[in-house]
Amino acid sequence: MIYLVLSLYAVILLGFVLTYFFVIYHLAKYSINKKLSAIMLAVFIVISTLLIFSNILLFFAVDWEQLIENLNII
Amino acid sequence: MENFTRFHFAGQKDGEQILKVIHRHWFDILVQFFIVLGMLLVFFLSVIYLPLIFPALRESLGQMLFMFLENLFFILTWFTFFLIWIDYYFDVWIVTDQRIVNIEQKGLFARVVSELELENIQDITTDVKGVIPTFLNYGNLYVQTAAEMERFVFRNIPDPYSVKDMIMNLQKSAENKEENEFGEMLKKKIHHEEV
Repeated sequence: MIYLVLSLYAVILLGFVLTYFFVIYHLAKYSINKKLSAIMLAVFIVISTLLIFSNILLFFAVDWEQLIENLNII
Repeated sequence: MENFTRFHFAGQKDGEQILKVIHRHWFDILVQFFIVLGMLLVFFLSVIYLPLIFPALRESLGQMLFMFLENLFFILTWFTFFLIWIDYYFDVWIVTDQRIVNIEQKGLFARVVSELELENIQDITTDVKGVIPTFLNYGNLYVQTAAEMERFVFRNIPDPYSVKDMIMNLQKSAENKEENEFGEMLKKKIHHEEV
């Protein structure tokens, strides 16, 4: 069961990471105003990186085995 | 007149000067941002009220799971915001002293770039329909070309009337320039034949 949770999370995380890189690619390559592009890139990279890392930390902070056990009891 | 010297787009010719960069009207993106605002509302309300309704979410195990899910939802909101912004920001019409370039961003995976030389413009029509567009002065602008291709459309742009005037003036100058060049060429040829 824990592997199912892990693989599901891996898929979600992969989706986020792919979107993250696509957004960065678009902002860096296609922006016609380089100054605005730099500001948007900085904001997006800093906040998204923090959010994704905090999400990974939170995922591993959850005691999934205990949680699944509790669910089985219910 | 605005200064666009810091602007540069892919395919810009040497010496080509950007005269105007037009994005869709802000009201157009505001409607889309209501989705993000709704998501933010759900986020904040759930942070405040869910632990009150379900006390298990205040215990250590439930609390961590709740924080993880809230964080996940916030990332989703953040990315939705940026995807909407990218769709808006990269949908752009660039008017230069030589042509009009339309860059249309459709999601993350589709991008259409089309261009139109100023000399090929035959007719320009503006279309402001509805109460909100009339009050906020935004609407569509259609540019018909000499070729039998489909019309070039500026969708939901702010102040379409002044953009129309600007393009018409540019088209006239481009036409005059072309006529003058043709006249000069004829003069030279006649002079050459006389000699």
